[in-house]
Amino acid sequence: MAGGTYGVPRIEILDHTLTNFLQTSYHFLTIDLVSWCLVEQKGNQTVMQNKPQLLAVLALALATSVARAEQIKVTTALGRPVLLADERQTTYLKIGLTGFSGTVMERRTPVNVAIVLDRSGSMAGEKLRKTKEAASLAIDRLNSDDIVSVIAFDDKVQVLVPATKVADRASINDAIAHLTPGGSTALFAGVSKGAAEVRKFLDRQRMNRIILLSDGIANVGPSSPSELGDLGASLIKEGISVTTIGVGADFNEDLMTQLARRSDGNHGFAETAQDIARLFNAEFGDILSVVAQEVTVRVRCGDGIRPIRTLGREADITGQTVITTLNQLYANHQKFIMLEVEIPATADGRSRDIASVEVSYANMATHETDRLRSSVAARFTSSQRQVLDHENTDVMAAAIELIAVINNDHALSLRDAGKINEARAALIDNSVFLDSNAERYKSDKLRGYKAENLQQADGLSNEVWSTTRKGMRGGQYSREQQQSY
Amino acid sequence: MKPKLIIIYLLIVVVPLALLGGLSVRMARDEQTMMQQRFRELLTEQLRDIDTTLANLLATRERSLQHALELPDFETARLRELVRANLLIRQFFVLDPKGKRVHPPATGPVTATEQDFLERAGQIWKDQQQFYQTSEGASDHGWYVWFWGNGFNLVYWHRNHAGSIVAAEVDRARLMADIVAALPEAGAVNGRIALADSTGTTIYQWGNYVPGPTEQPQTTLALSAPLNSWRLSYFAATTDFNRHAFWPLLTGIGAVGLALTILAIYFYRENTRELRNAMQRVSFVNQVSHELKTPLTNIRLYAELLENELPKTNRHVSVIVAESQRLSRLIANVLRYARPRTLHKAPGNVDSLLLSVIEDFTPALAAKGITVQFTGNTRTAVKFDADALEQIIGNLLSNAEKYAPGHPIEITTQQTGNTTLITIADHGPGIPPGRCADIFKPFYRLSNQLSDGVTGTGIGLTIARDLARQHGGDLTLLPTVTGATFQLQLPS
Repeated sequence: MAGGTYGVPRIEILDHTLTNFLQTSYHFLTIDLVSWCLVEQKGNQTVMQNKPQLLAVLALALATSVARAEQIKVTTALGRPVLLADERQTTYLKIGLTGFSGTVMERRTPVNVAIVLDRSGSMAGEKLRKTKEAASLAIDRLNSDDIVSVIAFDDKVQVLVPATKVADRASINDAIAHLTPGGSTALFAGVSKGAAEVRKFLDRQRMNRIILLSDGIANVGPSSPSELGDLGASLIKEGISVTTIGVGADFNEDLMTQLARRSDGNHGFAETAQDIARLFNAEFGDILSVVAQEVTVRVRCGDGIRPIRTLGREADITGQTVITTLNQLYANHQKFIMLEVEIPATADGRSRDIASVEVSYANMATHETDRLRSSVAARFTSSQRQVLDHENTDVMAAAIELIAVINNDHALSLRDAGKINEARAALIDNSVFLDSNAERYKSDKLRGYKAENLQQADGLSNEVWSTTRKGMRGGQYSREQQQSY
Repeated sequence: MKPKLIIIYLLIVVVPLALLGGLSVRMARDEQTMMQQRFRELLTEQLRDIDTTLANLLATRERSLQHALELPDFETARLRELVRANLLIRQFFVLDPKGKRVHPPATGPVTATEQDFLERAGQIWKDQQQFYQTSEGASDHGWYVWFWGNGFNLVYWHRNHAGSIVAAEVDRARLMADIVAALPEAGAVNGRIALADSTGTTIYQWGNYVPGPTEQPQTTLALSAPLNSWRLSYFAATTDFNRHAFWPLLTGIGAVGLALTILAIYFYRENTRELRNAMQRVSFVNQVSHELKTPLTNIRLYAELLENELPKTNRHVSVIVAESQRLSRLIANVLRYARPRTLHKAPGNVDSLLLSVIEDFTPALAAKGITVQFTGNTRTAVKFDADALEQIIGNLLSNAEKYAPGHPIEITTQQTGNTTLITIADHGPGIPPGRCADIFKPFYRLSNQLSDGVTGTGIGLTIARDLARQHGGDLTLLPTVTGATFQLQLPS
């Protein structure tokens, strides 16, 4: 919540009637009020204008106490809300989206999930056994409203369980139990068939997802990371995400992360067969806690502000506009967009509108489309001290983490080119970078990533590189996408 | 005799079998070729069905693209929204009637993905000539195939009434995913059907059959336009019909072979049984003849003694002697025929032996009104078996006695060089010219009015000639105008 204390000066509800708006939770309003108060003390003009409105809203909400409908929380904050005057500079803008608690929902979002399992020869034994167990256990967590399908592929694809309501668990588990290992890996076809099964019951009110588990290199059909990424990008247009779980040391992590990234799914790396159950469990934890879907974030930068790039999550940048979509938000879980913006030289004492943000999403509790709007401004000072004092540690730590991801990826490229020593040096540099920032921003996450980088620096030899690389990709991915596991 | 029989019976079985087998194999091969052809046609038909499915899919996509590309204006925000929302459109461009690019915007900012698109697809409108060539004709819309990056890419274009061209780059991954989703899953066929793109890379395959690494497909089919650089291949096992045709064929041939073998064995057994019966009969006759010989010898001996002791006029005894002599000859003939024996040759005078034989025959011949005129001209002794020579002459005289009663017989001997010739000529009815060769065959008897009612075994001449040949000589019938003249040659 620390992020909310800076730079969340205004929240506007556009498409709702007043009554609808009053159903917004106390919790949410209270936070906003606190953030407003804090900002107000710093003398932000934008906030001052809104003070009466917010007070009125709070008063009304307290007075009526009507049934509450949850909304996701949007926190828009700058890494440095107070900037150095008379200097062209860049700073980070973080737009955080946090799902509301699932406990207030009348019933959880029904899911429509296709489990696509690799049954190629290399899966034989422990891996396939654990996978079957994990899949069966995961399906046991679904209820009779949910839809599940199970697809197995080797060089061909077999639909073991066509999309069906989870009523007849026995026959579903039976079909999974009889899964036997086969030939090579037609991954593209497997996912395509999985998508076809999901599409049979495609419904915006459901959580639509493909879970792909594979341990091998795709070798039948389209097999490049970009082709699978394109497939993911096309599936997300229908609201279907693909979560990819890579098992062992032989799968193509670039392909698996691309597919997940372009479809806004999760990616997990199961180093051993034992990890499969954990990942399935975590994935189903996400799946069963969806509170918002089809989240579209539009950022319009203020005059003179230039969006440079996003860190982590990708976005379309056109001129002053940045658009990105997220397929799902999970209960109490924050995802964010980290935007690097260039700010022109501005005189001391002035303030400047940095960006206005519009978020629209399908609310799975109310089954309505909500639109939220917020904006952020920055103040300029000639005091270096003031700039540092007002730094938003949450935003800065998050930005540092994503920069460290880029550094980590650079080290990975070096190692791919065979430059082991350079890669090791890059990882150690990165850990030093993370360490100093962890101290500065008091961030355990940065400390954790520092330890990870150091460990990876020791895992560059030929024998273990394949596994280390998967760990690096997995770590990068989960940070870029703010994955819950 | 026996091995020859076995070979014959084997041939009876093997030859028809081989013929039948050869014919069936040839027929089976012909049929297999035909079946193969029909099978291929059937497979191609299946592939054509799949092609139809995919063509329908493309047609559906074409309609939805057509619908999506009917735009009231080319406002950038609207176009970008279209790319974001449309499942099949990856990017698209708009050219105004003059061929100038309207979208992605020629002026103003473009997104990163639009920039990528401009780089990979710029060639299309840079080389507008080619695009217009393919897009010309009566139609105002169509597919444009474009090879770039991963290979095959499809562009759907549409010219609106104002003359602007709107062209959408079809999301290749999406199209392939849709194609995969429209095709059957793993176990749908017993063969193996594979869909390969323009580079020959298999995109999707299904079916239970696992083809070998270098196995050629039974049949291939190019997809309909615009996917005409893609190929469907059908792999299937070829040995199926062979196996289907082989067993019935083998059973058929086996059954016929068995039937023939049983038949052959049956005939063989029938035949050997008859042979055995005949042998038994011959041996029985032999035994009996042998048994008859001893008492007959005694009867003859005592009859001759009696004839010597009694007055010459006693005709009854002469008859007994003559008949017993005849019976002796008959038995000698039977035994000689059944059990040929080696000769015991000793030097002797032919003339004196002949005289003794003639003397023996005289009473019997006289009874039939036959007189014998003998002219002996031999000077040197000849080696011969007396019993055998006696039997030869006896048989010839006995024939004359039966067939030429009332005519004289002339017997002449002469020696030329190393050969002794004995000629016995009668003046009876003779032997018809066409039958001359047959009379020496065993059991052959001339059947005419004259010989009817005359008894005989039909082996007399056979034995006479066999004995002559055993001596190294021969017995021949000399051509004569009347009667029959036999000549016996004996080497000296």
